[in-house]
Amino acid sequence: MSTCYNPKTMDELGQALSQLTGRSLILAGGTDLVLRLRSKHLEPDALLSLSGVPDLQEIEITPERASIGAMSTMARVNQALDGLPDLQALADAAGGVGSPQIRNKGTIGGNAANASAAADLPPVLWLLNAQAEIMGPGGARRTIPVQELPDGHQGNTLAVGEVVVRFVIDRPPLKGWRSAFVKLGHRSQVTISRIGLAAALLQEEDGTVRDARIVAGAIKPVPFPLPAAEDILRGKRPDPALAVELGETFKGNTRRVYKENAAKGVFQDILLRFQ
Amino acid sequence: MKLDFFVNDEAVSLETEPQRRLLDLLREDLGLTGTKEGCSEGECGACTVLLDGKAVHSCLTLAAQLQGRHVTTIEGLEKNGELDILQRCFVEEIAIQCGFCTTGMIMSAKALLLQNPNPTPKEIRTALSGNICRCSGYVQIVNAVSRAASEMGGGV
Repeated sequence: MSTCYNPKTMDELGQALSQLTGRSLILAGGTDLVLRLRSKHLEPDALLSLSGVPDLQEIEITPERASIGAMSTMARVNQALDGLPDLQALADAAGGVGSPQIRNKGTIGGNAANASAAADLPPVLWLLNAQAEIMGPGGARRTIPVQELPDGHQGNTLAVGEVVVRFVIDRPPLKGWRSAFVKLGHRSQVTISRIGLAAALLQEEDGTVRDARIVAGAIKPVPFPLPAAEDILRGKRPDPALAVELGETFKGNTRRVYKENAAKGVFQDILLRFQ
Repeated sequence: MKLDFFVNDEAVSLETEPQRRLLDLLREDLGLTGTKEGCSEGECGACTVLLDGKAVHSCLTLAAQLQGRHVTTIEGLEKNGELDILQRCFVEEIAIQCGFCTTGMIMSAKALLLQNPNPTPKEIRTALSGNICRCSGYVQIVNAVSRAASEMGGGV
């Protein structure tokens, strides 16, 4: 029988983190961990459940920043950010994960820390230059750019006894930008991404793109920017006719030929969002 | 671990393993077999219950996540011997074939109507997108939820 830690406050969380070993598991929403526990017959020496800490579920949006507790569910992230032009991509990604049941339990922290190559939120967190705030044993805090969270092998760079407690996105650098996320899966709902595309555009009043940022997910082990696609967009209107040229920028990034072709359609979908 | 939580508005106290699934707590420890085990992987939705009013998979929920929380199962919908409007509409619209997916479907629909009493057919389909019926009777199911909404005063 394993020990179970059920902290209720951030202080208790810090104390519980001190007790963890390399054989312990941290349970967020459980939509992935429970599957792994069962399929791999894992026998952790301790299970730390994050469900009872209200602070980890706090979402605070001000003009200066978006602070999103790591235990915020996909459903709540979608609800809190939907309609905010600069953060829309995060609402899109969270609102498209799995089914309603998954969105009611799966968390932003779990999605990012789990570091699946096919995860939908990491490319958006990269796009928006989110910072991940981490708590370690005894409650010690450190903050890293979200780009430093995955280890490149579908794992994360967190040390034993560390957990992501929240994500912070600075909003002033995003002033005037609009963002969107679209994904390609085998079906329209309850699907795993074969391509996830996150884009942010800064447009002139007539629609001309002054600046662009594009990050792709579900292609390589970690998200990656597409500077060639950003160059194509700058100085033009986001016309869906550019999709073919933009899709060509996927060449060399994936061994799967179908994804090179499918990328054109994904670009078309995302450009339609900026009309 | 000692687990104190609520099932269908009744306080329940259990001594259990933290890794035990809510699905097993309900079916094996509490005898509430209305909740079904389908895929055990969070894909089919047959095990759907409400956790604090939201639809979740009981197969992906562990005892370690339940302290103090409120679970509602299909058994909790009937009040004073009367079926919930959703249950009655599923029967009257013949939205049941083999019945295995039905409890999960009804719990997902219940979660929807709690949040949105006046859903569009598209919103109903999205709410049920995580519930699979292999007898393939989705039209009747969507009709049953629409009808329940209108009988409850919403109207589609």
